[in-house]
Amino acid sequence: MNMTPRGLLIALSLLLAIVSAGLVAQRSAIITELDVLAEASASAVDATVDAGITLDVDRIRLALERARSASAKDAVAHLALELGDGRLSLERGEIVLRATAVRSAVPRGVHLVESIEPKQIRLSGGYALVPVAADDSTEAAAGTVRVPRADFEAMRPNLAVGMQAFFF
Amino acid sequence: MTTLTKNFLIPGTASLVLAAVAGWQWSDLRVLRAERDAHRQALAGDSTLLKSALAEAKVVTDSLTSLLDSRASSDSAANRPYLVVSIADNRLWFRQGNEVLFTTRVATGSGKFLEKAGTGEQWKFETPRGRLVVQRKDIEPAWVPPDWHFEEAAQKRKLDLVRLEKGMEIPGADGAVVTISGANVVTRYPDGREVPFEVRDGAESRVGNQLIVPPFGTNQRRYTGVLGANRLYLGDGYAIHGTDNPNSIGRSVSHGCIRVRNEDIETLFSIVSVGTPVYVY
Repeated sequence: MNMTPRGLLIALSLLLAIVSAGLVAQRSAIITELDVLAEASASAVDATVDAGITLDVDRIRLALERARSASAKDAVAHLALELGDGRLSLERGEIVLRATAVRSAVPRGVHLVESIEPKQIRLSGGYALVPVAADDSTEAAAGTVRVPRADFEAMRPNLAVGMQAFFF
Repeated sequence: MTTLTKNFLIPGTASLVLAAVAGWQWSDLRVLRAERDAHRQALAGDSTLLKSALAEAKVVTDSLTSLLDSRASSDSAANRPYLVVSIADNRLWFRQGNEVLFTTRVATGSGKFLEKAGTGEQWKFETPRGRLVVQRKDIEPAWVPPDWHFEEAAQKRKLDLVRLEKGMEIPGADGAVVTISGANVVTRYPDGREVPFEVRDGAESRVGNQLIVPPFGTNQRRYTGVLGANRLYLGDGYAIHGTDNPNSIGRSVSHGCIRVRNEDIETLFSIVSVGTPVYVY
């Protein structure tokens, strides 16, 4: 085929125009994919964060429920302190013999009764239950559980050294 | 327009411009592709993290659900009826789960001691703490007083105690003797007449300054009408029963049994089954 230089240049221009159009189309497709990927990534991160929060919440609940179950399985008399509700109970197995509202400043855990005295019940870990007036509104000092005196007196004779106290 | 311009300059310039544009696009595309690959890799990583987080969350959630389900469906002790007695409050509750089916005031053990004369031993009158069980339900129960009852009565009335046994004769006034005849403790007079002792709580058999301890199995060791219409027997001599002393209810005055008003023991008799646990604290 006999083509003039002008014809060659025009053909080259056309070819370059076609290549450019192809590149524009590819660019557009990649930008669209980037948007989709960014959205999917954001969703995945959100879902991962949600799953992490659910996991943390469930882990805490599971730990609480396991402590509750351990408390319920303790067939002898024991103390159970629900820190969230501020509720101390004397229990035997699953039976709640007596429950009362208390103020406490103790962490979660399982402790043993170490000594039973008229003015305090000492637990392992340096914690103590102390009797207070029925209308007491003083915040508990660190490591103590403030128990209304009538409940303290009713619970005390049922405790023995070595019994468990579940704080959950 | 010259031929040179028309034939070479315009198409040449157009070609150069188009080539420059294509070159810039190619370069931009390479950057975008790299960015896209990085995003793809990041998404794959995010997806792996998500899968791992979801799998971990599922394990914990399943454990929690299983624990809660097992508790909800378990035939737990708290879901069956049970009695609770508070010694400190002198109160009884009949509960099922968190529901109180019946509650009333009671009398529980005094916590006092009684010396057993001449032995150095002593009784302590306390209601036992812990888990007991309703072993039996009695209608119109009679009270068979334990030895401490006679010891206590003798000490109150400043009398000596004498244990009457079969074949034994305790001399009385005017030649009469106190002895056992059949199921009765009787006074046998010289003419052969036998008069059974009539006893009740607080008026036990006595001869002179001796208070007689009738043997088990005799009618004089069996008081009727002092425990109300019913009794829930808890074992080891302890029971929940009525009383002929309703003023004692609400106080720590018993010898260890759990006393309730007569109308309350009838109610409890009708609603509490044998085998029901009794938690005393």
